[in-house]
Amino acid sequence: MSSGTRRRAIAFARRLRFYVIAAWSAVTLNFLIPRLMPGDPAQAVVQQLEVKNGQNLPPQTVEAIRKLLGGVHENIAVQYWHYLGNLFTGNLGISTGNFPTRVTTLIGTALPWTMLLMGVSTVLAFLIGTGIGALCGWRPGTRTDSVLSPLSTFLAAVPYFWVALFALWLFAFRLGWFPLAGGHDPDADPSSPRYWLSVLHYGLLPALTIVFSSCGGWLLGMRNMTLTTTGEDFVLLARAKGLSNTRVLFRYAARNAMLPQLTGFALALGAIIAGSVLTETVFTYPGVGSLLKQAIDNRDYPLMQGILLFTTLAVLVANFLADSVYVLVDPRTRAQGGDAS
Amino acid sequence: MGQPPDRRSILRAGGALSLGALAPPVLAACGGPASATVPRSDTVSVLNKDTAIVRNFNPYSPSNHTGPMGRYIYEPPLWIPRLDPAKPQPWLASAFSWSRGGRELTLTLRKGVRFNDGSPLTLDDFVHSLDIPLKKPEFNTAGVTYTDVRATGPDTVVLTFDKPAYQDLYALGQLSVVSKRQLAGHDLATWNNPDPVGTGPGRIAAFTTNQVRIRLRRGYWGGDAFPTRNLKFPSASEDTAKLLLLDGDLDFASIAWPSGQTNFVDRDPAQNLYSPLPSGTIAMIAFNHTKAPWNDIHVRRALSMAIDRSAVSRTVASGQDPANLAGLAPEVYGSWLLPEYRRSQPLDVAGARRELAAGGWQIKGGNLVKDGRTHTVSMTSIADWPAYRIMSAATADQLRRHLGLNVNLQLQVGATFDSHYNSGTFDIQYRLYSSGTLYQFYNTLLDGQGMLPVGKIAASNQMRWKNADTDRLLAAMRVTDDPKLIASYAASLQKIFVEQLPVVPVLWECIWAVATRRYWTGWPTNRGIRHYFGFDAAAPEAILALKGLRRSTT
Repeated sequence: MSSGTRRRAIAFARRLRFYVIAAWSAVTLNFLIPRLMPGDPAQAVVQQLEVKNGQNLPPQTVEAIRKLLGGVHENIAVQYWHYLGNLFTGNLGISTGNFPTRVTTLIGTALPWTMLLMGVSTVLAFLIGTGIGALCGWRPGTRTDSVLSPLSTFLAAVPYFWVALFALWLFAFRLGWFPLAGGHDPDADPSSPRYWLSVLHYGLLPALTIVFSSCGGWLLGMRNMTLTTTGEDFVLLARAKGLSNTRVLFRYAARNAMLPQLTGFALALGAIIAGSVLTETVFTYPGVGSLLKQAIDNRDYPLMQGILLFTTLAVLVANFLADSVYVLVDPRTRAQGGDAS
Repeated sequence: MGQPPDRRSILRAGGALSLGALAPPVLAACGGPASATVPRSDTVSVLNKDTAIVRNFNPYSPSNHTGPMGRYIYEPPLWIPRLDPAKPQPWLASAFSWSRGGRELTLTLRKGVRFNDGSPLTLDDFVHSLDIPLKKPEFNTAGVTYTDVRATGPDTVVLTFDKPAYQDLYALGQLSVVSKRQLAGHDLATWNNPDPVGTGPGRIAAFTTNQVRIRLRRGYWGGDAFPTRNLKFPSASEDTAKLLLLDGDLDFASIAWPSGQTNFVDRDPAQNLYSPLPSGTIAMIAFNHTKAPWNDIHVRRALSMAIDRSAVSRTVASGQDPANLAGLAPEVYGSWLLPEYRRSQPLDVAGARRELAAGGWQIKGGNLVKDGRTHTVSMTSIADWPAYRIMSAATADQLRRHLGLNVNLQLQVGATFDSHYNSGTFDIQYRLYSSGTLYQFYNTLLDGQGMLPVGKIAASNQMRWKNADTDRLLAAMRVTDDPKLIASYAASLQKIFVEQLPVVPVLWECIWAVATRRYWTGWPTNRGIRHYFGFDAAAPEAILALKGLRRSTT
């Protein structure tokens, strides 16, 4: 084993240790935080039922619900121990708000929708924003740049929910181009092509609003980084060598300007679940965001914990990937891998 | 160590990932059998406010995310009409009668009832359904109080109660009659019952995360006179539901729509309909009767007199009118309501000041002061519902404006708000209240027997009201089914309620009906309402309301 490889292995082990500790803290906080919140799930269910039925529940019913949902009488250490044990066996418990549905079933149903909508639109926003940003930064002051850069500042400043509500009102309600709510045509057979087309149709407007709102940030970041790197000596050298503009831009300037963007992208991927709450609420999209909102309303601890766990683990995994990809795209981190951590 | 992957392979992997992300929704959507497309004009479309629906038809689940669909599948033994809870009606039990002084109830099973899987409803199924809450008290979500169930004949069942239980029929309107065969071998604590078997007219025709379709079968015991066989329940938030109603995708939604008249009805008065329906619910100020100054009748009266209820109603602007003195909605409790209590408390600032003076109270610096002790006025309300934020703020403003009281209004999330109420750790709360029958109305609110000390979680009398007359009247009401006696107790209880003011009723709370007549007419409106529709309080109500619809001719 060469010394370089060993250094890299040590660096990897250190990083892994960091992630294990971070994951343990996340898992523990995930256990503690819902228990510090006021109100208990039984109470939340009673209250929601009373609102829904417009009537106070008889005391016997309230007692039954308490027996069913409020049955945690173990001390907190025992609860924690059980919680850890269940985590390792993939048992996230039963949702109190959707009694007696398993949390894994609920998340399993909702997660693909969120991954589809948020994942695709985050990737698209990143690609579009970064691509245009590189072009703007490469030729600052051109007409494209002077229009797009201030516009993207504006876009980045407009609150997302406003964009989403406005888009829903204009394109779905006034113009009728898109459906008002949902993730697919509810009347289509899930095995038919019509269903698949409807999935695209239903997802398009929410996806466009996300791309519209978030690509401005990517554009600005990339533009400014490209602007900085184009002034560097190595870009000047590339130009002096007589390389084509495209080659200089993509192999020299943009490649270096990309680095902070990649870190940002990894973080954005990690934040997908948390970021989906607003989108899915506005568009009644059947994903994890809607589920999280429902879980909070119900004080549904098992469900909340399950979703928060997925969220924190997603951020950790994304960070880990970013760290790893960084080593691939930036040769400098490779040369001094051992010292980087 | 091999070469690090080049960028192209990273990109390829990325592409595969995003393609992979496209695949799973099929799995997610395969929840139910697909249905042949039914024309919109042949479908009654009712809002399901649950935006994340789960295929959960466990009849004992207290989940409020089971949607209104179950009401067309499971049916109760009796029907307790929302608008006349004093007159329980036969449903799956074709007759019922009391014996042993209200300690025994004999139910006769209706003949010729079949489940939606074709099998007949037997006495065994019926007994089993009644027995589950006894065998497993945690599944007593209907709230039954009997202690024994036994079959006494080919079609009769006797329920035994520990004490006279004339007032406990309500729970039999909440209990679901189930198929013993279908439940066999399932653990009710983990089973979702995705394909429910019930005696109701409906069957699940299609289920996705966005919508549930119900198909009404032929051969339902209650007759086939439905205007259509197709119901659908699309999911949407309340705000989106408004757009869907305007678009004609929804026929009916039970949602509050501030300025619904202008924004909905006026757009097309011939088709669009928005009415707040009476529900028997009051929006009220609840007091903690263990605490000064709220345990002083003069203070409570002063607060009641200093509220201009019409002003509060105008501020909310959704259709809630001032409640009457007794807090008993005439549409629901009309036969008992004393005529003199049909009016609401008018604004009477001078009277309020007289009351305060009579109790020895002064208002200094916005606080209540007596014998040198200062009491701040802390009111909490529920943050979850916009209407209650507005109502409580408008009520606090009335007290500030007319009495100079500096009301410290705090909004709390529902679970916190209720847990303070139940434990008795509050001063005054602005909250809603209602209960099924007249007895329940008073019993849940004011029964002092078995009152729990502050700090313990109470399921009734959370305000810790202790009044010997109230307890005596409730005890007497419990053990009789004589309508005359009940009416006289009801009158005395109303007197106590109005004169002692354990709570201050402010506005009526409503059940909302937003409907379009594009495809169907005969929706419940303010005038001539017979059955509620679209909220899931009781199966019979929902079934009867559906039968009342007619195909639109416009």
